[in-house]
Amino acid sequence: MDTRTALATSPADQSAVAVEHAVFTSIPSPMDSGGYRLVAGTRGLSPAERQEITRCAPSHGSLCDGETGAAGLASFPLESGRHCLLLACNAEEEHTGRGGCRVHTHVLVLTMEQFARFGHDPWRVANAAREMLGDNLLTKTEGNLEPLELSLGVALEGWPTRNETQQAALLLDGLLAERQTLLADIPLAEDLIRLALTGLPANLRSALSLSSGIKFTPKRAFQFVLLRNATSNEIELIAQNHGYAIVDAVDSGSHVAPAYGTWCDLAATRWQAGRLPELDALALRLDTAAPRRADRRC
Amino acid sequence: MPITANSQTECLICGTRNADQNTVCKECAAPLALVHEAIAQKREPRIVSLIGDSNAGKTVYLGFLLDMLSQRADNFEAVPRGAYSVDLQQMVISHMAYRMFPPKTPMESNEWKWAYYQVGKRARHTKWFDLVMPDMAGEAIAAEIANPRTFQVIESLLAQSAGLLLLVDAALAANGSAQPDFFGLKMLSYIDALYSGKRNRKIDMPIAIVLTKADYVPACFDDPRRFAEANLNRLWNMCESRFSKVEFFACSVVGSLAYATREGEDYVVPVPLHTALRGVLEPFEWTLGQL
Repeated sequence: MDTRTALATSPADQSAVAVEHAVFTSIPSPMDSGGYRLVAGTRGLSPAERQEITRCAPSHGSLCDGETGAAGLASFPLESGRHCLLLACNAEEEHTGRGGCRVHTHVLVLTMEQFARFGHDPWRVANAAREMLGDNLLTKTEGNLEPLELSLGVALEGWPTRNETQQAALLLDGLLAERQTLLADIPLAEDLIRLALTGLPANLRSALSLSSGIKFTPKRAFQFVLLRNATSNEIELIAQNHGYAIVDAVDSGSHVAPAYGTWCDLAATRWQAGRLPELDALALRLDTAAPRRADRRC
Repeated sequence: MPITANSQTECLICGTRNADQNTVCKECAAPLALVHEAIAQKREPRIVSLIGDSNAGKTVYLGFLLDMLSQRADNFEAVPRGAYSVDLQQMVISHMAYRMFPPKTPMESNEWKWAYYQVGKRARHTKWFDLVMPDMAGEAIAAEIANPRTFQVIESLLAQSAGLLLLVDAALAANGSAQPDFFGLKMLSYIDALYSGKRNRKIDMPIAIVLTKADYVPACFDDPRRFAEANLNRLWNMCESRFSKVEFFACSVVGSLAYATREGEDYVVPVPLHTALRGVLEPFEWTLGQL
């Protein structure tokens, strides 16, 4: 069986889950000043969640790419205990005419149980949401929305080739060690992270915060930050002010002594053999300390 | 807040302790050069905050104000404390020179431009002020006043401010929109709560209410107070009830405006054809006089 299909079709895939969602963008309105804010949302979002989302959601010019259609993603646990996904993209020109695109962010809020049913893989949730939402972007304030039904059977795409497993193993080590890591202009960075996720115990997967294609800000100081088009000065400042380990085209991070070498080597051999479902299932059953124990035994 | 040299640098705005090598605060993204400069000056800077709704004209106003000060308008002298302080001024002037409004300020505080100037009016015994003026996003201010502590940096800034410039879109108000009035009312109510002392004592922080885009409303220049009382009555009443040092000013930056559209697109882009500064310095001068 193809590994992608194997991961995507578990018994739970027969059903769908209804999740809370909202839209954060800048839309003109006669009722307020029309800047960036939550313009629509389901009733199930608490005021504290709305506040946290407003703090983290990308606003004007906050995607790494400036052109229309560029996209970004962020995934992080909320203080309420639920999990939040921000699916951002550049829409048409912003309505005040001061240049730049309107950033349209679809916000998904899942319970931890719902997120677990997607294997704690934010890209899998994103694929399911995109299948439901299509290319429809909100252009006027909608007020209350109905919960969004996400299918659990959406197939995953774009797994990295076997050659990249060594780099994925380095990322897995960073994930296990909970190192704050910034990946700058790494080809297939999202796919490498997805691959690394399959070797991560469930507890760490659910607690993982990351962003991809969205500019860095202290309010989005997530564990993994995937940046594109950032200048070396910007990257240096983030590393200096926020203590991130940098992985880029020059420095693959291979000089960092792995803390979980045995477990990461095991994961790499499974990836190379195409045995992702096996590794994924095994990792999900492990507690957080298990990869460390594997190293101690060796 | 005491200004002392330390192995860790305490942010002047939010009080977060930062490693010495940090250049901006890891929490609120305020430049830590503010602290280093304050230590060198051996005096605490005074913060004058510029607040207003989204699209009220904060960035353009602040950019031109700083430019006028550094060009010694009305005998003022202004020395930027660090090159980062000049960024906003340069960005505004460069855009306007190319007949474009500067880009929208993002809500993310690390994208805000901070200006730290030593300002004084040239005289026999010049009295110098160290002024910190950040250019905040209107949406962030709106989110903070709607749900306090959404952007704690704004609360910290306002709590430490020695004076305020509240920008209100006069053109929108004159056009019958209640939005500028309600925003102003909410803003002052937020400040009232922040400085919540005795209810029977008015807050004596100087607040200059700047009626922007007044070129659309010539009457506003004739009598800004009357304009505010008639068109921003809720805000006016709040000022009367709770604040003892408030003044109203009309202000305009753009001389003439054109509107352009691209073929096949239905949005309109305003094009500032030339600038004609009016009433930019007065609110600042008044606020400084009250400190």
